[in-house]
Amino acid sequence: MLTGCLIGLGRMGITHYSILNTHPDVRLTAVCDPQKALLNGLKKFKEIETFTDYRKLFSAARPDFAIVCTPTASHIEIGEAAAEQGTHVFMEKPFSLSLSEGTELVKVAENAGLVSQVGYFLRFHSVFNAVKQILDDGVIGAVSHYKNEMYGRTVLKPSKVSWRAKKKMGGGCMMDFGSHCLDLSDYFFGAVSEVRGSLLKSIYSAEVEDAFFTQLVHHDGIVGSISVNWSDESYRRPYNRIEILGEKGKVIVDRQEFRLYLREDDPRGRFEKGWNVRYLPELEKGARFIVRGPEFTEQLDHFIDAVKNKNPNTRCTFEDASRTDRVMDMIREEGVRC
Amino acid sequence: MLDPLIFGDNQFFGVSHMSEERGMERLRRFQNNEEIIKVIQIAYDAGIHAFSFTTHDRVAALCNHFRQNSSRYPDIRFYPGLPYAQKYAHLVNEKGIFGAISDVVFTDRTAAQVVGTIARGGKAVLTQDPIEVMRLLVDAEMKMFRDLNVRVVFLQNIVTDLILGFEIPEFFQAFSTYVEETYHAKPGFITLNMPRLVNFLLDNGIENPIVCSAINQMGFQMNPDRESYEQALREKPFQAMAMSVMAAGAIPPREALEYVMNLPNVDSLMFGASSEKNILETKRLWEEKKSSCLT
Repeated sequence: MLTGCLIGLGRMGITHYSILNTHPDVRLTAVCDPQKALLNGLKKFKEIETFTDYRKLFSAARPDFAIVCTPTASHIEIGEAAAEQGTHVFMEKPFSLSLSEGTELVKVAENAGLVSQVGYFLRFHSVFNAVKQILDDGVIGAVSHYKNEMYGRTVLKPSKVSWRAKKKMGGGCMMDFGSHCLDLSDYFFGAVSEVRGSLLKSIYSAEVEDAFFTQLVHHDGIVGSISVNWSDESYRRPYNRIEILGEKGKVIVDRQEFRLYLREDDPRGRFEKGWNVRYLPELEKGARFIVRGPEFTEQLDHFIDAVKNKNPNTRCTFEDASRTDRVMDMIREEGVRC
Repeated sequence: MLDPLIFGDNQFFGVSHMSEERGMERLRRFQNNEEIIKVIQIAYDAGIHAFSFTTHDRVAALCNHFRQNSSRYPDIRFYPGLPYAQKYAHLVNEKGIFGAISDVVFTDRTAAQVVGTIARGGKAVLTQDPIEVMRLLVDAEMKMFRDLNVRVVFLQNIVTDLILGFEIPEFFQAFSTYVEETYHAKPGFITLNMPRLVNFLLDNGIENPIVCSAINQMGFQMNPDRESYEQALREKPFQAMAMSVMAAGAIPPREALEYVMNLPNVDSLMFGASSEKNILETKRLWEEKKSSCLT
């Protein structure tokens, strides 16, 4: 039985709590949050140690692993405190405020043999993974260009309260929202070598951008256009769409379906010439327990399996996620605020 | 006794588990409540008198319509599902958990109600009583259904499954008692984890619970798997309501109903449709199956 702790009881924190509390090999022993009222509310029903200071939690509870769901600005210091005593860490996305801030922790975790993972849950999404397989199998041949978009209605008016509106806390559309989109670019097409033509646009937020647009060049010459906006009310919930053009065809994917166009029949017989459409109901598999979607359970179960040494820790490690931090650095450096 | 056929509302508010585009298309088609009312009228005239609505902001206006035109729907009954989760997600993003709660609890109330709510809510937050906060939120969400015939008040899966994961039976027990005593309706639970929920409710003294979940031949949104669902239906004493019977359109209606209606213990079916043709076809297929199951 592994013992785990949870730091930060926001929306993601309570989701992770619920999913892990039902894991047969996990016992959650401690939580940490600055809001005492939340902790007292939880204590009424659960036998769990509560802390407002994560350092005290680590020294008192000494958990096998920690789930960190705090605002991004505190990720690295919490991750370092965990690593110091050999605690495996699952961190919410994005990993850190900048590449340089997180570099040391990537090394420390790796040298200590710790399992590290970052919560880019779309890497565990059934439809995106089906498309990842299509790309890896070369079904559409060498990719030349893609368009990667993400839209949502996270910020529809100025806010002074939310940490998402504060630059120092790691707020802003790119870090808090669009990082998913950039991570998918890394997952699908590998590391980025060049960033061009970035624009960071404020719509409602004074300190941070509410939209950004950029062009990415990947190491093997694949070119991608990125368009992200978290202030678009017409989307009921966050929406991702990627359109990928290859020499043998193209594929368009969102969270519900993919549409694959092929110039010739797939030699393995899985797809035919012309359009092939697959919907979520046929791609999604059941999971042991679901709170928001199977991908949230799968990413945590993957982490727990890695901690238990059941599988290698390969999907979305600190190092994987720090490549997205690096791309965000590059966008900020060359980007124009408008 | 549950109504055998209940008309759901996902199609009106842009929810499609199949395709984002189809969701958007429906949002456009149903952006005026008149369009929704037309479809409801068709269902009502076809003999479907039970309707399930999420506590979406727009549903408040629909409820006004039902109150103002009660003679048009003499026998209508409601199965509200609360909360409308997206609303809270946005509020929590903006104001944090406590800000969101106070916003929902205090919005749209008269001065006298606010004083009353502060007396309860202020105390609830001060004494950090999550159960009392839950009751305040139920009141806030249920306000739009005042004076309407409410049969079952459903807890949406996002909350049911969250609490199920936390394993806090007191929450489900308090919700059940509150719904029965305050709204004289039955408590119901929507879930993506039916077998686990049914066991949890039964183990914690909630007898013969009303549980609504996806039930379809493909196993879509049935966790951990279809076999566990079939076993629960065979072995556990609960009132099962099936939704996503056609797996968001992936299974043809006849085949879909064939599977569900041959299962033991499915008391009721929740379905959504946007056209007269589909409403009448589902109703006809259901009646056909029902009579063949009975004979």
